[in-house]
This record gives sequence, C-alpha cells and structure tokens, in this order.
Amino acid sequence: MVELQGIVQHYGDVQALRGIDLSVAPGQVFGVIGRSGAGKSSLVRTINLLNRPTSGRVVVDGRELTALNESQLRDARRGIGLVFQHFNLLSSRTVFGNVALPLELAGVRPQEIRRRVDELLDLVGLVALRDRYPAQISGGQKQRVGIARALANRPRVLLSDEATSALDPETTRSILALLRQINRDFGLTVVLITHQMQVIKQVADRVAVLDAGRVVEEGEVVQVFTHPREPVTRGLVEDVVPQKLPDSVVARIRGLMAEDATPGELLRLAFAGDRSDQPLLSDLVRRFGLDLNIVHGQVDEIQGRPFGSLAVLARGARGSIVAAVDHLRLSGVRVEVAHV
Amino acid sequence: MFDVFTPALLELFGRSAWETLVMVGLSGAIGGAVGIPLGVYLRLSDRGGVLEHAAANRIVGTVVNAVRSTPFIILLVAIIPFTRLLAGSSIGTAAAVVPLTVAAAPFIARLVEASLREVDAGLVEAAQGMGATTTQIVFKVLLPEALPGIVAGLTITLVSLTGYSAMAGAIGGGGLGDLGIRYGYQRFLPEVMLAVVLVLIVFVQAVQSAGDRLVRTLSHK
Repeated sequence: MVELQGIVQHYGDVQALRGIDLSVAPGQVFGVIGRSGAGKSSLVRTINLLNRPTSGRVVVDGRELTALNESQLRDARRGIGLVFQHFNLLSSRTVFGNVALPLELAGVRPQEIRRRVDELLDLVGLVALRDRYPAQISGGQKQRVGIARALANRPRVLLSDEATSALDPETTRSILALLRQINRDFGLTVVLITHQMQVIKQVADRVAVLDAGRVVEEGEVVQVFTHPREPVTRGLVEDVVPQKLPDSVVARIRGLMAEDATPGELLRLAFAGDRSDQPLLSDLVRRFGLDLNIVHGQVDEIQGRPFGSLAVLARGARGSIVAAVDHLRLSGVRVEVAHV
Repeated sequence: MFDVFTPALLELFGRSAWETLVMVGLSGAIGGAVGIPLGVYLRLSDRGGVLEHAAANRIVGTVVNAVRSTPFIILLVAIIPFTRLLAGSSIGTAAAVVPLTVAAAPFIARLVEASLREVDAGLVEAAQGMGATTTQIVFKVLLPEALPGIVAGLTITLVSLTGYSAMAGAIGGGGLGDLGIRYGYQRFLPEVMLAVVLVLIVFVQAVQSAGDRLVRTLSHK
C-alpha cells in the first residue's frame, strides 16, 4: 500500500534520511519508531510528499507520487489522511467546520458534507461537541476531531505523526484504540510515527526502527520486542521491557548469593507467544531439582500475544543448572547467564 | 464662551466632521482592498511561504517600506500629479483620499502580514496534506485564522488615518483637523479647537471599542 524506495533527503548539508526502503502491506498498522532527530517527521511527510525527497520513489496505493504533477498530487493527497501531534485544528472553525474542511476543499456539496461530517463525528464519539470551538475541548477530544478530519475523504492510508505524544497515558490508550478500531473496521492502512514504544506495543503489527536517517531494524512487533538486535532498538524496548537490571536489584542479588554457599547463577529469560503459557519454571524445579527465586521481571502481552522477561536466581548443582539452561533454550526461551 | 458657535460655524463643524468621516472611511476601505492582498502576498512569497519568491518579496517589501517611511505631510504633496490623475483635482476632500489611501495600504499590508505570520505553519501543512490549492489555503485557512488580527490591524489603521486626515487641510481636504487649525489656531478660537479635539476623541474611542468588540466576537482562541 505504501512503498518507499531509496528515499534520501538532504536539508542543505544535513542528511535527514539516508536511503530508506520500506514496504507497508494493505490493512497493516505499521509503526516507525526512533528517538528525536532520527528523521521520523521527515519520513512521514515524505509519504504524502509534503517533503519532497532529494531522491527516491514514493508509491502509495499503486500511484507513484514522485512522478505526479502538482494537481495530480493534490488529488492523491486526498487519499492519504494525516493526523498531527498538535492536532493542527483551525481555531476559527467549530468541530463540525474542522471536519468539514477537507470535504470543502475537495468540492463536496454542502448537503453531502453535513451528512458525512455527522457520520464521522458519530464514529469518533463527538456528536455532542459538534458546535464547540477547538479552544473549548480537551486534547483527547481535539485529536478525535483530527482523526475524523483525516478520515473525511475516505483515505486508503492514514499517517499519524506522533498523534498521542501530547496526550496523557489514558487518553493515549483511547486514541490508539480508536485508530485500531478504524484500521479493523475500514481495512485502513495506518503508518504510525512515534517515539514511544508503548504506542508500538499497543497497536502496531510491524515496526521499523529509525536511527540517524536509516532503518536499522524492522520486523513483527513481538519479534522486535523480544529479540531486539540493534543497540538503538534495545534502548527503545528498554522503556517497556527493561533490558538491564536496575542497580538496586543487582545489589540485592549479590547479597543473596553471598549469603548462601550453594552454587547459583542469575538467568535472564525472554519468551514470547505460546511458550509463556507453559509451566516452564516448575518444570525446572521438578526435572533438575533447582531452587528458583524470581528477582525481577514482567509478563505482558502485545496485542493478545503474551511475552515476558524474567531474571531468575537458580541454585543447585552446576551440572543441573547447565542442563536446565539447555532445556530452556530447546523450549524456545532466550536465556542469558548473567554475571553479577 | 459658547457664543462663538454661530449657526454658520456649527454647520461648518458638521460638514468638517462628515469630511473626516469620508476621508477616513474611504481611504480605510480602499487601503484595505489594496493592503490586504499585498499583505497576503508578502506572507506567501516570504521564506517558507507557499509561493516563496525571495526577489519579488524583497521588491514589494522595499516599496512598502519606502512609502511607510515617507512622512505623511511630504507624501501628501509629493504625489500630487498622481492624485490629480486619479481624483481629477489636487485639492479637496476627494483629492485627500488618494494620499491617505497610499499611506494606509502599505501600513495595512504590514499589519496583515504580521497577523498571517501568527497563523501556525502546521495549519498550512495540514491543508496542503488535504490537497488544498494555494487559493484555498489563503481563503479557507490563512485569512479566517488571521481575521481577528486583521480586524485589530484595520482598527489601528482607522485611528492612524484619523490623525493623518488632520494634515489633509494642507491640500484643501477639509475635515475636523483642518477646522481646528484654521478656526481654533489661526483665528484664536480655543473653544473651537477644544470642540474639535473632543469630537475626535469620541470618534477614535468609538472606532477602537467597535474594533475591539468585533475582535472578541471573531476570536475563538
């Protein structure tokens, strides 16, 4: 649905994007994550050519945008909805007027505009605020207006540029749930730019990690969360799944190990999907006669698929511990023997 | 002390007030008709504008600044040939409207440009993302969003024009200011001068509060 091929973007001497290739399948929620300055905003604006790349091809819904003239491009942009971090609503227009704007620009008849806007306001749950001005509604409500506006011309692709970054966690969840619902109900392809891994975790199917103008890692969200390869990705995943043990936990583990003469190892386990439903730990206790002490960790789910990471202090005979680690690895759990 | 206000003088007073109203109203209206598009162009052609054009922007900007830096009393006489061309005469109220308009237009242009600059660039970007044409961006986004600021600017312009119109007497434009100078100052009738000042205060006050009220109604920030 969205194809980016060899996108390079210079601003003077600054290279914002250094050769990006991305392919977003129809109906997918595709997340792009990166720290500030990674080139995320440049990238999302490249998809509708608000930023014209220095070189590279942009194909959306089968049309090569980079080959279109101005008026064809304007037409193509109507098929791409855009949601902004700071909403970008017109303060001079009511909620109704803001959602009506893209329809007016497209030359839709007033009667049809009224019908369509009411339908959209119903979809985002803002019918009651129809005649309010943006200054009179909350941030979450403003973003709902922004989403309704982006959907007005029935786009095939929705671009979201940090749509939840200015919102509190609860509002963020409800906005993301709305995006997910729209994605499912209308089969709308969503490209979501964010710096928050939580956002990716909640709604994205696939994720690309952007760093210094390059895609350094791309894959299924669960895969990237549980097996981050690049340091940048690890850093980002850290926000949701701690990759490093906090110092206080390390200190406590050292204390526990010093107290007891029985050999012990600290095992870091990462698992995803069906594995987390198996009684792995009690298996270890029964089969290898180990004493297990969970010192740190979390079990969570990504769109219904469980995943987790645990730090377990295992005590027992050296050989048993080694055998246990092998057993875990055979069961598909990623195990690291940590040294503290 | 009011015996100086003979029926003849009162009639003159009324006529002068009307002349002031005509001069300020007409030059404000025509100045706006010229100045608003000029201000829009200055904004659009400036760096980062949707019609970015550095050279054109500099030329228009220089002309605007040149007119704005010319003292009004000099402008009044300097453009007399132009005034005669447009108004058919270089003296009288109609003739005074020409230099007043020439002074008002660039003033309004700069105020409009400043108001448009206040409009968040994100709104223009949003409109472009929706496939808006330049005309649509101007009429659906920039002007409506900047309207309160533009109205505030026009209010300031009308007040300034009221002051400028006092100088129109130099070319026989009439008006209250002229009356004050000729009767109050040159004929030693301080009562007339006082009355002129009082009427002008009331007039300016009325313009300003009407403008303020309109800005409040228009602004939804």
